[in-house]
Amino acid sequence: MDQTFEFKQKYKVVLAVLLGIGILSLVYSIFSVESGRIWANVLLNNIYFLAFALIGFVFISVHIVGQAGWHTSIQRIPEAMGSFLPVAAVLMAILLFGMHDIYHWTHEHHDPILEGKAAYLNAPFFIIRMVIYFGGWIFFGWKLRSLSVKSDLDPDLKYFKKSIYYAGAFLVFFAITSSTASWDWIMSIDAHWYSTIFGWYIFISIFVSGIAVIILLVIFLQSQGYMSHVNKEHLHDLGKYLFGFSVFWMYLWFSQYMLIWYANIPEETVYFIQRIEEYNFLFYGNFLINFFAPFLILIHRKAPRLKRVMVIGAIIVFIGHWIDLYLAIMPGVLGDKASIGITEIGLTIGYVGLFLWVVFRSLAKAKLVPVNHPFFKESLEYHNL
Amino acid sequence: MKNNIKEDKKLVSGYYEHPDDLIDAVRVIREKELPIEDIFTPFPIHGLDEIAGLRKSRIPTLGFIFGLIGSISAFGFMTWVFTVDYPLIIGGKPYFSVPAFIPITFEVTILFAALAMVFGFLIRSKLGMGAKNRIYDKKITDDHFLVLLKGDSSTLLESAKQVLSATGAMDVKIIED
Amino acid sequence: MYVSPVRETLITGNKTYKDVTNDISNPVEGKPGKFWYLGITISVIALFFGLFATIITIWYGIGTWGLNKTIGWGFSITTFVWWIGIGHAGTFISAILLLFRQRWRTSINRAAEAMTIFAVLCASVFPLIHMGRILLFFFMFPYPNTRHLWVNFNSPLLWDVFAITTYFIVSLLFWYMGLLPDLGSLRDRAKTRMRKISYRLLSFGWTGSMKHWQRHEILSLMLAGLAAPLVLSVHSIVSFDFATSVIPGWHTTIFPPYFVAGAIFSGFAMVQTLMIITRKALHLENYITLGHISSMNKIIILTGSIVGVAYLTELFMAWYSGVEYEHYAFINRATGPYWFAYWIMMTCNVVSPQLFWFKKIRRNPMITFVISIFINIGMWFERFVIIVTSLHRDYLPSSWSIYKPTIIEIGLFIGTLGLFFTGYFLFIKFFPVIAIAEVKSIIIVDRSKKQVKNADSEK
Repeated sequence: MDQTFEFKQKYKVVLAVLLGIGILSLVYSIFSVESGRIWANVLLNNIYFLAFALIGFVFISVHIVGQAGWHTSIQRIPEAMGSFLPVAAVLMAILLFGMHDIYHWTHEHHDPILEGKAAYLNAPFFIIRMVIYFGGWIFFGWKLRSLSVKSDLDPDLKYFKKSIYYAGAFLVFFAITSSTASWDWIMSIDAHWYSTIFGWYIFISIFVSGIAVIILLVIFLQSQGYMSHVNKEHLHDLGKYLFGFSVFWMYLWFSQYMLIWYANIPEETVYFIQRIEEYNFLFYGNFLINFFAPFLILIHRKAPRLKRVMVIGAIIVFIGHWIDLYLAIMPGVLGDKASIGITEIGLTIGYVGLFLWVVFRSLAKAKLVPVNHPFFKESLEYHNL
Repeated sequence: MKNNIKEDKKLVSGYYEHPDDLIDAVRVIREKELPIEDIFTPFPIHGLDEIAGLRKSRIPTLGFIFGLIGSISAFGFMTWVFTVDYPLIIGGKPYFSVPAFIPITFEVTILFAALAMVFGFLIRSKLGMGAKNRIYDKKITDDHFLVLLKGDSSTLLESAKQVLSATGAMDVKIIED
Repeated sequence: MYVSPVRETLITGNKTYKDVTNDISNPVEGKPGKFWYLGITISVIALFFGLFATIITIWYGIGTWGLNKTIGWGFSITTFVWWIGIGHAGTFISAILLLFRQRWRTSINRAAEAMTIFAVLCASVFPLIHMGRILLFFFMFPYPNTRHLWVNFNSPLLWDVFAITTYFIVSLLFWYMGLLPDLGSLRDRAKTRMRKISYRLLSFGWTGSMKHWQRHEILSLMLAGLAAPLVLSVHSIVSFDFATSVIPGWHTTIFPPYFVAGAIFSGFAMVQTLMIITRKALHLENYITLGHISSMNKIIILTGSIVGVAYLTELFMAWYSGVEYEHYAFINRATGPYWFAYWIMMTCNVVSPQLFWFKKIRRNPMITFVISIFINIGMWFERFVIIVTSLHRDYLPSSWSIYKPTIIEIGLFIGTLGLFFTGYFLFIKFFPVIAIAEVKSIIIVDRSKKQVKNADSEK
């Protein structure tokens, strides 16, 4: 039980290869595709992998505040995912050089609507907000992680008690910043368009994929002989999350789509018309892959208890929500010229390599389980059915 | 199950006062392969059905089937009404407007599934207004955990009595069914 | 089952199984106190007032209300949405908290579900009498008729009919199936003939057999699984009534999840209001502890904050949209003739629940009670703001108007309060307020202590 993850050479080799593929395809893209497409892909992957880091801490915080208990058996995995936050901050900073290609509100314009929004959509304020978001996220993430790690050496309950406050504060901060960040980084691509539900929609989308990543990491570590204490019950709960939040995602998707479809106001429908006409296959595929696939795969009570089924479900969701983000970003940046090719796939593979490298490195730094957590013993005796 | 009991079948009952005692006893009873007629508890005891060797309930399947029936019939009906029977343009929406049909389809799905499961539960368990199920002990709904063993031979009854007493059951007795 | 020592004890007072049965059944079996008689008398008077208002409305028509051509929805739809919202807590507690394995729910789910049922009943009064010709209410349902007409399946109002009907039926089934074991308890304890007969009928012949329990448990879990999305859908569909339109302040995509959060928020406020009185009046302090009140308050902070974020999002987007009508709708909310409603809503719903961040306040029943009343008021005004303020100044300034409720409309509102509390008082008199069997399943009774206690009481 007292295991520590070892970042073995063979993992490093594989991850380096993935990272290499990413860099190679980036180099290839620089010479062969337009800059807008590269920046759009960088934005997409930046947000997607930043999301896993954030959801790692959101996951922990929600369970700390809700006094769940069972999460302690896997707690170190979302914590390690969170260690990607500073890297994501650097990557987002690099993106600032590509703002011109992505956000057309940064151009010189005489657009009365954009002028109305200029108090919010302007480059300096955009950067200030970005600094605030990352400052807050990294601070709370660092606090949560260090409190958790400290408790390994010292069984005192004070770390546990303190973490409740930090988790609560982080959730409040996240509740506001997750919405505003998604307006800043994604919604403002289609600068004329607006939808009040957008922030929550993006949040649930990344939450589902964050759960999928946690599931994949748990099952991977188990296949490598770690975390034998994680049993079917814990997996079952993660599966229920994957199922439940996929349904919830569909609900938000439907709410947004149906209301805009029903009211039929041109300023709003333009968003969906473009996506249906130019991205027909992905638009409907997005719905199928993110709702029907996990729904049908996981609806049986026993399904979340089978590792193979869970892996399939999680991979589908992982790809599905990448497509969801793709649909949110690409039409605004590239119009009908977007496609999925070496740039998209290669870059994403590179990000996977980088992300896992950071996560594994962080995972190896502390014990795989928070042995002194007051709920840890309870989580071992946890039952679902 | 109760229907299959023949006239000459007799039951042995005994009660425990703590769920842990009951679970320990049921494990012993299962080891000795004594036929369990039923076990009565004041509240659901986690895992008892598995220990006592009950089959899983098929209520979820029932719910799934009826939910499917509900969603197909609701969606099909609305489609038929608005495209075949009486097509009307209302609010500029097309005849076959899928997003507008979703809410009702969803509600009818839930309604069908819930009704099917509840009635399935009541019928399978023989529960309902005026049901005359035998109450073996008035304290089952309070704090008695009653075990009912069946046996058609006197040796079986005798060993059932012994096992119950040995596991700490109180008020062990033979009752006529 | 191992429970971490840092967890607060859910049921205090070292209760045994027998104590649980006794404590919860006693109020049902004993004579009700003065408080109960006083409460039900007031409730029935209010109910009759409402009945009178209903008869006047049906007899003379909707003209007895303060509505006009611009403001077609006023007090009645506001109150309708308010009640439907309150009706969300019960099913939320029993369904979503069950799925999330929050064990504290067992002490409050029964009463909250009963509350749900009465609240939905109260809500359904309004659309019925608002139709004007109440005798033709069956026109709402699609049935083959001589006019060869069907209902309009594209209309959110019809979705509402289906959603609320389904919600009422499923909540009722869920509640009653959960009650069966406890009604069995009451039946087995019944002393008088009348009680024996009625509880025998009501308990459906519950025996406590493990086969019953097995199916009962899976049924509860499955119904919870169905009720969880159902809860979300009902208030979402209520929000569609507004959000599918093109009226500024109504048409906004955040409405569905925001209405749901608001519904759970107001529902929990009402549960607090009722439970704080109930635990005192029926001496159930060991079952509904400060821990329970605190847990509910945490949900109130959560949902209250979600509602707060939604208010701010709406406000921001109204500005960000660049649409002048949207701008005006929100300026008018805060500074127009109904400014007071907006600020009552803001203070009661956004500011007051934030006090629960302090542990002292969260665990104080008196303050919680006061804040819960504030939230009830605030949530009523939220719907008033959405409905009346958005309608009274429409696109055409010449048709701008002001709405004032008449005594008949206020009477209807008071009448539904009467209906709700009459229902609740009857419920606490004849049914166990707390789920006896469920509470027994979460307490851990020591083997030895149990025996000792029993030996004593057996004498």
